[in-house]
Amino acid sequence: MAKEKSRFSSSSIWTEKYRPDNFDDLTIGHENLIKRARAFVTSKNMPHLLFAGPAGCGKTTLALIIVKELYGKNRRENFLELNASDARGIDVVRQQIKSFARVHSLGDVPFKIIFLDESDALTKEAQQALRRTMENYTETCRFILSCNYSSKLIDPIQSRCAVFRFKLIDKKDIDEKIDIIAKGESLKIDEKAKSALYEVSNGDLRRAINLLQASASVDKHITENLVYEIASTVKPTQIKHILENSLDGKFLEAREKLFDLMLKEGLSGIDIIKAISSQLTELKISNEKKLKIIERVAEAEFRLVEGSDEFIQLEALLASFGVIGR
Amino acid sequence: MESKLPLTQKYKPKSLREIVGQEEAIKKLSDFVLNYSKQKKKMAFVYGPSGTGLTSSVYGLGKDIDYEILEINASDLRNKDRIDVIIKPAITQYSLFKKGKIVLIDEIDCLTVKDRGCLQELAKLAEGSSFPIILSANDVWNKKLNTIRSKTLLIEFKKLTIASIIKILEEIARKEDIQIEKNVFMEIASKSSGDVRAAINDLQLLSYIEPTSKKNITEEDLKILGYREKSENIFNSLKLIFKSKDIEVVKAFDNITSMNMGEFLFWVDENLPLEYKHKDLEKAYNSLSLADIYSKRIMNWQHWRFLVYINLFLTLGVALSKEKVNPDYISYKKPSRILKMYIQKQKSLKKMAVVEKLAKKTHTSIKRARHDFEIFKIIFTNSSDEIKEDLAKELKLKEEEIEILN
Repeated sequence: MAKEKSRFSSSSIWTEKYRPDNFDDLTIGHENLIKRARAFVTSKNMPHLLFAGPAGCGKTTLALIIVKELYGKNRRENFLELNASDARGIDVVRQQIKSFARVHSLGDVPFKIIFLDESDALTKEAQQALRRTMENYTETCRFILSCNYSSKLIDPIQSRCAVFRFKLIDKKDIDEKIDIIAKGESLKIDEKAKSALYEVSNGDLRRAINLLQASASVDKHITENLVYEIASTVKPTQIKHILENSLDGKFLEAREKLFDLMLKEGLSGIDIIKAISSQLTELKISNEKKLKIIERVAEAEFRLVEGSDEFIQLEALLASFGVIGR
Repeated sequence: MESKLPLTQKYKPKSLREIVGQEEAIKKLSDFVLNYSKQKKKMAFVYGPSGTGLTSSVYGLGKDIDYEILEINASDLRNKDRIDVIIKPAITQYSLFKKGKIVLIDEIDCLTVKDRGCLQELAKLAEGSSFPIILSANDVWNKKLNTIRSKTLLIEFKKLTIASIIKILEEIARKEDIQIEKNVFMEIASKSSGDVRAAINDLQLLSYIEPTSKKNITEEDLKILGYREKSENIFNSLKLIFKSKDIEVVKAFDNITSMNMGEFLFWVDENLPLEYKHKDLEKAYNSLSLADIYSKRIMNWQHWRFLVYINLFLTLGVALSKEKVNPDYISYKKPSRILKMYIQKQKSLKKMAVVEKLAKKTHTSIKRARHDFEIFKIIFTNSSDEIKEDLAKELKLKEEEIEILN
């Protein structure tokens, strides 16, 4: 293990420090995918790839490993990492991607790699623009697209890629990773705390490691309670107040809190919807009413996607709670 | 209205002869194009208020003398390279089907940061051009245009006189069989401040409404139209929507032309819970929610007719959501959301700087890093000074950014 550890980078952020940087360190399942990826590296050839799967299951990590194994020291010149959810417009494709793709690679691999993370966030126009780019520059450049939902990518793009489907990481693999980190950082961690980490992170390894580091910054002995405590400062309890207020018909109070949460904490509309859903079980109302709320929440989520003003859509949701609560 | 085209499109001048009130400008323009090889200045610059026939004249002339028009306008990317790629071949190659070619660079006053180098490149290309290049703009005295202005032949288009606008309106009304009293023409024309397009648009709007008396559109009908410069009190419109259940409320929005629909939605949103409760509130918010959805659909589909429904949702939809009118006097508030959002944005700028650095370092999106921020804050605050220093170094945090983490 000591040898292994020295291979990890020296970052102070654990998600980076313990990010595997070669195939051997990848211990998170997905054996089939890793086998294929290894073959790409050995043959120095690969098709365009589409990595689909939930957050924190190793998509970025696998992409970074492929790049490192292929290019070694020449990584910088041959690799462009872009995040589509930050730069989602057509401009990025037109300019950044095209200009990188059209220049030949450096070294003995005949192509460069563009890693486009969260590519499902690309606008339709940008995807259309990307489609030709992928084709025209195949000689000099291969794409690794990563996304949560491959259905959000237009068909022509999906058809140009070999699809790698990632599953949520198993609890035992997450536990194993936590053990490795605990050893490396000299932490004492309870079994129940590991279960708590798995639960609050919903199987998102990145998030689990982040929460582990936050817990460890408070106390080197990590207990179940500590994990929940840390996780709850992140999960806004204000959601509960918003729910209760709006069910009581106190719309203005509920709205005020909603604004605070979205503006100050920077929560998006979907975040709020998710939080409402997860708080639902704790409400002291009849099951019929809970079902009605679920119907409204589902409709609100649909409208959030269809609409442009998240506040209005959520206000409409809160107003409907006022009627259910009576 | 059988024709689907807006009247402004339908009656767009198709020849120079149909351009009204710009004799001098047209003479200069025709001379410039027809005797292009003798011109000292290789570009012409047509300018004047909107709706006076700038673009139409160039197209009219092209049609009259059978020239092809190559147009680049604000919707095209117009930086140095694009100008080079599009214009350069155009001014060196002869037109395949037409006698000649005019290059029209429309809306030249609307150059954005991304269009850098456009003007310099144009000036350079114009030197050797064998085809006339025409620029157009409303605001010729824009600072950005200082250098290029001196290299062009300036052709001014003047505001149209009321008399000539009336003439145009009468002509269209006759062809479209719109019955209008004479003084209504006068009214529309004088409100248009010399903009023919605006005047025709108003005429079309009027033709849609049911005349109040007999078959003619009268001055009475004119009152319900929103005029571009006339803005009535927003509070009256809110009152109309909140305190009435009458179909008349659809006019509420027409009165407030100084703001756009989106802004009005903010006003309704802010004050709605002050007036309505429970079931009424739910219904009214449902209307606002639909209005919002349709405004996104306009953006997605560029189908502007959805505006009609947004208007209806905002006015009639909200008004008819109530069981009874709330008799209490309520003093309406300005929308606070925009201001709050602004203030918060200023505060969160520093936070975002940290978030961006975090995103880059951990190979993730800014969106996800923003979620991680709170966790990261816990890590940072509780860490020893030594680790804090490492983190700050690794993320290249500035002093002020460290402050918000502590």
